[in-house]
Amino acid sequence: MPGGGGVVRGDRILAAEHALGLLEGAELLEARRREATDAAFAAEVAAWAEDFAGALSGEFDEVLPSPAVRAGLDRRLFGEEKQGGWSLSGAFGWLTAGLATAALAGVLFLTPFGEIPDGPRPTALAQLASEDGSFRAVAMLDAIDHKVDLAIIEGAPPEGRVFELWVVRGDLAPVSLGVVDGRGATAVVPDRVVRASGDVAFAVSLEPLGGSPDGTPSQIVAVQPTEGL
Amino acid sequence: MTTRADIEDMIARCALGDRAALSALYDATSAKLLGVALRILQDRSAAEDALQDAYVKIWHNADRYRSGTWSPMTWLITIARNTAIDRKRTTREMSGLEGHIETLASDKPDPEDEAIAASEARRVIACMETLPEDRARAIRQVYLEGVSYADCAEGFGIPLNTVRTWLRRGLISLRECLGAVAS
Repeated sequence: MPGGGGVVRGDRILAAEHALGLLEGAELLEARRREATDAAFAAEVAAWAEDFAGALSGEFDEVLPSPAVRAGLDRRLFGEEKQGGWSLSGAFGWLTAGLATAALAGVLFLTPFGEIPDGPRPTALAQLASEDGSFRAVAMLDAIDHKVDLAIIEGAPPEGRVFELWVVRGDLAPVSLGVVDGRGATAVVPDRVVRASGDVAFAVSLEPLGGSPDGTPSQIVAVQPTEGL
Repeated sequence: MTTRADIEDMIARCALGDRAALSALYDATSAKLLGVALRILQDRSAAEDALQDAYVKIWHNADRYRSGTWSPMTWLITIARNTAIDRKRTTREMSGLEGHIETLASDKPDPEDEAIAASEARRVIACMETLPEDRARAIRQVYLEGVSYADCAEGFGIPLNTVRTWLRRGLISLRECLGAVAS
């Protein structure tokens, strides 16, 4: 049940619209940002979702998925982890493939990577930039807890699109680290990427709202290798 | 039978990277979540793709699940719903297809859907029934089929802003009713 304190009526209705999935474009982005940063608003969204689910979710039928869904899921999450051998050529193989499919492949940009120590914790840094300079960001990877922080310095996705952060390593397909919410993102590099060998690159792509529809980057904005974990 | 506590436990273990927990969670919930995606997307193949995307998100976001705020089934259903709605909107944008309102199927509620407290559900259903019939129907279609304001405007043949004002009024009435029943 939504609480009374802290949430004004306009917000309450906005939360309902968000819980129903009615918001689009800038309003949707703003609602997602608030859900991530404003606990009262997030609780309001959850309360509405609970109410709607309570009243209506019984009407969703149960339909057994085909076995291919589970097999594909396993492949995507825990896929064949080929070890060793690869290094940089694999990443550039993928980048070339990305180039072939990316609509605006011209924005691909590479500069030498840098690794800087940050106090006692080893931190790898990748400075991402689009070729025309309209997009700049920094990805910082903590080599101990494998947490990556992305901060966007310049650039915003066009209306109705979002940025998505990816990690690329060895001959693994690019692994999504999630949609970038507002000016930055924090994610943990999945274990299978940590365990794989080869250089690490981070990439930012432009995606439809909600993120890549097929689990691969749609349109690469910037990509930047950094050194191994 | 899988209880709410079982599902919460599976999500908690997913957050720790336990693959067996994801497998168990998939066994327990994938049929329901496919039902969600199928109702919204009306296409088996698209719904199965959305289902796979939903479990990828569930796996990666399991550590963000907060049991105090969300019931586990609502959380899972919300992820599946949002994934399917995103896919529906993206597909429509890409293909330029017109949105449309599906005729509302009169499926019976699933009595096995015990993850959601029955009394709470009855309370919301009772309040939905106090709304004007067309408004309640629109809210049901938005929830169950993921229709957008643009879809509603087209379906009802009225301008989008009017639809929004009209539906928001319905949501305000619903909240007032829920508040009154609760207090």
